[in-house]
Amino acid sequence: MNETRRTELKGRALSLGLALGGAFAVTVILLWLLSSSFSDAFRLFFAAPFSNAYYLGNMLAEVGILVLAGLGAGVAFGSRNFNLGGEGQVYLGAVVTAAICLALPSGNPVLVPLLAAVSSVLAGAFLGWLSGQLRLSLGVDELISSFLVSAAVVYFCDFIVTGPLQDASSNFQATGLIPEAFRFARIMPPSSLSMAVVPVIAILVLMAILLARTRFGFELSLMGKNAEFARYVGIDQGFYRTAPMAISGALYGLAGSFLVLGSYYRVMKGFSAGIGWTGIAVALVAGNAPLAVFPAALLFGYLDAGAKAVMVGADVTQEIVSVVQAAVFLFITARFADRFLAGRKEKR
Amino acid sequence: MPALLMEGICKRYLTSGARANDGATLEVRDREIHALVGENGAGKTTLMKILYGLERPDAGRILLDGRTVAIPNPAAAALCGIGMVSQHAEVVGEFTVAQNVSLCAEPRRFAFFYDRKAAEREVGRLAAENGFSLDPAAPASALSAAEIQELEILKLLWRRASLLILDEPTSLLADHEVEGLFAGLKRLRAAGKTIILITHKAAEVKRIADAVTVMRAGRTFIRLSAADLAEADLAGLMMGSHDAMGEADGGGAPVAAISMADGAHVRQAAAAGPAVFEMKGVTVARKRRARPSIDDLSLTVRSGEIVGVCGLAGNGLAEVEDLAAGIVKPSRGSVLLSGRPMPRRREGGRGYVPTDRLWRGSSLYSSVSENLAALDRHSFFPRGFEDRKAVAHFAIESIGCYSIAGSPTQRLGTLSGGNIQKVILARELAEPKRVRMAKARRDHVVAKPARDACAVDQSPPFLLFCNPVQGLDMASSSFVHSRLVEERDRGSAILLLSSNLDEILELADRIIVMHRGSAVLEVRNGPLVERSAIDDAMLGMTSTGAGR
Amino acid sequence: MNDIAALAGDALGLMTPILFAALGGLLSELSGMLNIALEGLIGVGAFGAAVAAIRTGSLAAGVMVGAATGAVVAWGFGAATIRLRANGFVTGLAVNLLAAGITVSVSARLFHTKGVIKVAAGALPVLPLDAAGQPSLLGRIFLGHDALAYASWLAVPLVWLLVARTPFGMRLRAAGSNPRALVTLGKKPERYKLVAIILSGLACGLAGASLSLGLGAYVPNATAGRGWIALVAVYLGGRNPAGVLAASFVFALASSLANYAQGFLTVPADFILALPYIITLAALVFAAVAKKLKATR
Repeated sequence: MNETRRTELKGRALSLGLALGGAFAVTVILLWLLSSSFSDAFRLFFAAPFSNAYYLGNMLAEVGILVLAGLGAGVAFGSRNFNLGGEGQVYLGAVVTAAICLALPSGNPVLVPLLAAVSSVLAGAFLGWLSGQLRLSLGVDELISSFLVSAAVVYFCDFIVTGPLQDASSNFQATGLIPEAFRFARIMPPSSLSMAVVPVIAILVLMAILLARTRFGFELSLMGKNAEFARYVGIDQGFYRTAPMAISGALYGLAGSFLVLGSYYRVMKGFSAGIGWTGIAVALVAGNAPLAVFPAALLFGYLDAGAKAVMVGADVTQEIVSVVQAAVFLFITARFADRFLAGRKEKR
Repeated sequence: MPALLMEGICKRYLTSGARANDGATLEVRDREIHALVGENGAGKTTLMKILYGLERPDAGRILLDGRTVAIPNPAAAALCGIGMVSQHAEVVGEFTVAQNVSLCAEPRRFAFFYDRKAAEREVGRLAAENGFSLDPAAPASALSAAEIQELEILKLLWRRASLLILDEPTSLLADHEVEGLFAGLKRLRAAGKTIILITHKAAEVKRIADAVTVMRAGRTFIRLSAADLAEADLAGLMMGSHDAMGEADGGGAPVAAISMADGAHVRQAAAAGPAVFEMKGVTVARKRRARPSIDDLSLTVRSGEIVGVCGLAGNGLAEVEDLAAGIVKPSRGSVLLSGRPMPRRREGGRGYVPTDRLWRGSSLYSSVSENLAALDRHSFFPRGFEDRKAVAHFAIESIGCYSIAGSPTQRLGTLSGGNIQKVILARELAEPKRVRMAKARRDHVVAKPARDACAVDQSPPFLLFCNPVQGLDMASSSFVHSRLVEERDRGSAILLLSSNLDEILELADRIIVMHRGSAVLEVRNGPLVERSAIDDAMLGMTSTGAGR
Repeated sequence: MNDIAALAGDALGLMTPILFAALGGLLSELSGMLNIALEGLIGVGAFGAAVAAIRTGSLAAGVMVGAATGAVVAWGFGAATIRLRANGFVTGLAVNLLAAGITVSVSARLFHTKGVIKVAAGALPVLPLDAAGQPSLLGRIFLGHDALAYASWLAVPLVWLLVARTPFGMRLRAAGSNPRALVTLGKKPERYKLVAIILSGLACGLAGASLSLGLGAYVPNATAGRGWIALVAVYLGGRNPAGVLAASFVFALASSLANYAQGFLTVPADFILALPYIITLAALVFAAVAKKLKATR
């Protein structure tokens, strides 16, 4: 490993450490400020996720979902596209899967979930593609359009979940449970960790290969690093404005599908809230290395699990996760600052 | 006592390591129009930026009327009565003339509001006093280039500048507008102002300047009073053709002269083949009624020939590059590649070494091998997957052939400028070989009819090389040149854009000189070619009967 | 006719937060700073205003604190983005996330609820409909709004004055359209950008205050996407206060139409909630299409 590579890695490790340390510090401060009992809160937040199978399994299940979300966000960012529509894409994916499973209760136990998952993927891909295409043909900023579309889609899904698909026998605002035959088996009952993690790992590896070893991944990363150079070597600018957005949406849609097939077996109103932002956070921390999405997802899964535990035990709300995420964003983007400055210097 | 004395100014840019100013000394007398001349990269603009406080010198001092002054920023410069009009207009299009002139020194009403009427009145008066016919209420976006020039000068006068620096003021002006500008400058001089003109146009210097300082490679070479010199001598002093030039410094100074002893390759080009690249009557218009950047230009590059296009910066070379690369479309006329309009996206068979190597020609965040493989993705990613062996092999081969100081996995941004250029050259020079090999494979495999659907691959490769050896050492330069000649001999059509006349003279079969967006001279290269004629043409001094 | 007047009147009432936020966004946009944090800034403003009103019992204090909260958070956001040369998109998102998280967390801590908090001091005083004698058509439209609504209308010419007729405004616009012009004159464009961001935070704070104090209660997620709508209003309004006013009114009118329609059409509530986003997107797309058609003519 040569000198420059070593300094690069050192720099990255430093800023990552800074972000993690900062996140830790912010969490501690918030717990101290907001909890009724700091020691309880501290213990619950940092240790509870590992304390029993329920917490641990739930955390890992969420990590699986976050891996997909992080991959989705990362594919878009890697090519300088901004997909802010993750939440809507996940929710719609979930609704599509639930709808198909509930509509074909006696269907083939392999084909129906497969159909559902594929449909969810297509639904999410469509939403992502839409923003990309609007940018390409009309110049509409995909950052805003993806957000707006997602916000509208969320309400649409709320309507479906509490309306046509509402479980008549229950008081919760949720759909009915999907037939047992379609569900991914639970690995660590009573937690929601299911066999869905297997395809997630497979997809993670596949995406890593796609991005690192294929022509598509190569061209995608060039678009992200220097779009002018990408144009100069003849890369199709139009394709790389829409395809990454579509794939991003597809991954989010798949996450939604797995939430239904694996974690909850139903769709609850608003259960995808915040996943769009967390996906972005995971992608930011993972940088450009797809395999790094896994530890990044672990980090945020852990934060979320800790917050849930604290909420139950010590009177602190789950929303502190948002604050910690915001802090991580800030610390991470200082890294962009170095890169940006370096890029500017070299341009001169 | 001179109005201005800059002594021993040194400035080294940390990012590029170039020594932009190396002990430069400038002496300007009161009420003088002083021309600061030199080739690109000679350090003129840097010196003036230091005077205006936009840069700070590493060493040296500045004396105004005998007193040493410190100029840490433009505000301090303004306090000393110094003002600068930069080459690119710093005008806010949505403001009126008066608003632009009075920006940051606005007249106020009730201490809080902008007094528009007072501003327009005062600006109008100032304009009239100095013979400018600007309408203070006109929107700046509607102004012509010459009017913008006047606006910029008014800005300085508004702030009571007594020493005015103008950076390449005539670059965007048509000839009659230049007259108007010079008349204005003379009026200013009569009104007691001192003026420094940065320019590389020797002809203009003779018309307007009282004194001249010539800069080369960051140093001030000589100071003359304008009366003492003839135009051609000045051109020679600037270009260095009468003198052995000093060695190039770092990466930013002009290149060392390339020996002409080995001129044997040049004159070989016997029968050049069919036209591969053509520009027909191309005009590229510019905004704001400035003269077009390219004006009715036609040129042809045939298979098996090298066409060298030279000219000083700002005369259209950059636009020719963009046109030939397919990045810019002409306002009138056409740009053709093998008879068809230049495609927007680069496909196989076109090599292109851009002038802007850092931003356009390379991806600094990618590795060396990634940069090398970036163009020919078709071969390096057969069936979509990376052929790591091929990429590695190509990287090692390129590093060896071109003596690149770097390793395949190293991030390109960490290489020196010269090595980055070598990576680009390695990549682009591999194109014609690939085209030939693809053609050979096709010819062996299947006997195709003469007219083939994929005409592009079958046609001779086209190479667009812009300042290809800038920043390279002698050995690498020779290697690149011999490769270019080799490609030429194998049938490639090569368009060589360069501001280095030695390079053009060594390689080109035909030479075209650009000045103010048109081709002012076109000659066959040969033992009879007169270097001085080309120099003159570059400086805009064409005598009738030379060359066309 | 009465119905139309009622619609217009409702729209003017709904317009207040959007208008404030959009004016703030306009200042930021003119100075060249991307500001996607409007949503979060409104949120912290609404919360800060409610907290202050509850603690001090004074609505005026609530308004001021709301504005100040927005300004302070915006200052942090601006300083981080400018000084650290951070990616404005990421820091903007961070502000939105922060606002969402902090308001709920603090609310839980201080008031032991994540839900609606009633402001004991009531809501902002409203100009009664019969203030000018008998209730008339014009009265139905222009009366009956609270103090902040009228303040927002006043803000439009004030912002115009600031931007078009003061040296500060000129330099602000120069910072956005050609910062080099300022640099060569010895001024720092960054300073003007930071002030613009702070002012936008102040405006969003007022927008938030109008939401919580106008209602007399802090409702979580009261912003409901108004920040994003305001952002689009800035784009569609063509970078001038009058255009922003028009765009904000159009969006507000669409909302009030939707509310009205809900009265006699059986439209699902979710659709009504989604409508602002749909309309905003449609407006963006239409504007883009119009621009394209104009360019090709």
